[in-house]
Amino acid sequence: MIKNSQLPNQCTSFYSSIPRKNHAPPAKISIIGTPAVGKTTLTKLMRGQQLSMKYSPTMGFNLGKTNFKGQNIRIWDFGGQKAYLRQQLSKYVHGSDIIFIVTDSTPKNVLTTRELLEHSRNLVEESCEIVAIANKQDLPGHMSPKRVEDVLQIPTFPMVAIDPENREHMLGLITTLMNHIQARKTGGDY
Amino acid sequence: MNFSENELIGAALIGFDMIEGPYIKWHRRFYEKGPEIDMENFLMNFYLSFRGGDEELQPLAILYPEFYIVAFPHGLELCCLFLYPGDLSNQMWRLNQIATELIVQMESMENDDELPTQSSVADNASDMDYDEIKRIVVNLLHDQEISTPELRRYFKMTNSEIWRIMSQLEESRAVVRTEKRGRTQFWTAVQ
Repeated sequence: MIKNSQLPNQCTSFYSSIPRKNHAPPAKISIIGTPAVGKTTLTKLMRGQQLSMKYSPTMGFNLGKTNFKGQNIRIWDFGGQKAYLRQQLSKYVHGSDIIFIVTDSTPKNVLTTRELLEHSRNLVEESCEIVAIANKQDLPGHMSPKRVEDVLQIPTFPMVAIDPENREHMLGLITTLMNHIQARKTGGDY
Repeated sequence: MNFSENELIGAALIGFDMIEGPYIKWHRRFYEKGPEIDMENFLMNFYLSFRGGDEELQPLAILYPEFYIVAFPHGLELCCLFLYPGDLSNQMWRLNQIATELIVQMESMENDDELPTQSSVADNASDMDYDEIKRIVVNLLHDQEISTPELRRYFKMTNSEIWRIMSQLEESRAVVRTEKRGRTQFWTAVQ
């Protein structure tokens, strides 16, 4: 192995000019769900981007990043069409710290989401937190987060992703979940 | 089709189903010689190469060593033309014309329900599938007007299937008719 002292001076000065990263690695958050449940809107909400009311399907996946209280977050927003879930999800969901599985809180969509949840469980490591987002809580006929949680059997949080005021709430949830994951990794109490 | 088929190795039209994702609507080889391409596998990834990522910054052509592909979007559909390698810069206008012609022909076949419906949603659709389509249609029509033929194209459906769904949604007061342009009915969601 070449030791640092063996490197030519030019080389060492080159390496020393590269800024060292001393912050935590970015958290990988994957957003999945069936079409038109609000995954991209949720992603835009987290990134502080302008929210659109028009539905436009995500092709494949979108990658985005944001930062909250010093924590870098990389967001993978997967298109909900079956072909994308078959091809893209199995390739790119590995290594997720958190998966948000989004439902529009209608009874039928919650049932479809349960099937997707079973599928995604097989794709990720046990350390990955899978959490449901019961979106569109502002629309008539929605199921309450408690009822969604009863069906999906995973922690479920209410959301209205078209309301920019929910950004802090969403990022706060990520911070809480990341702390939880960190505590579990180090064997500490949470 | 009003073009010399020697100009192209082949052509394909990739549709987009809101539930399933991209699918091959139609493809044809015009010239026997040339590279063999497994369209089913190739075009799915190819669709993403053209339509994935930034909506405002999308390529016009992708160059492979043995062939070039030029693609022209039409809504969520993509018309792809396969060519032998060569200078594309002077051909784009002509290729665009060919693609438009293909799209128009496909649309007229669809409007007459002449298109083979082997992959139509009705073949093995359950109530759940129809409910899922209805849910997405209402989302699509939120804050915008879309015509019946365009909605039909989003779901691999025939005219009669989309009209049945729209009538049911209208009856349940989830959508309303807005205007009629020629024979084409436009719809929007009830807010």
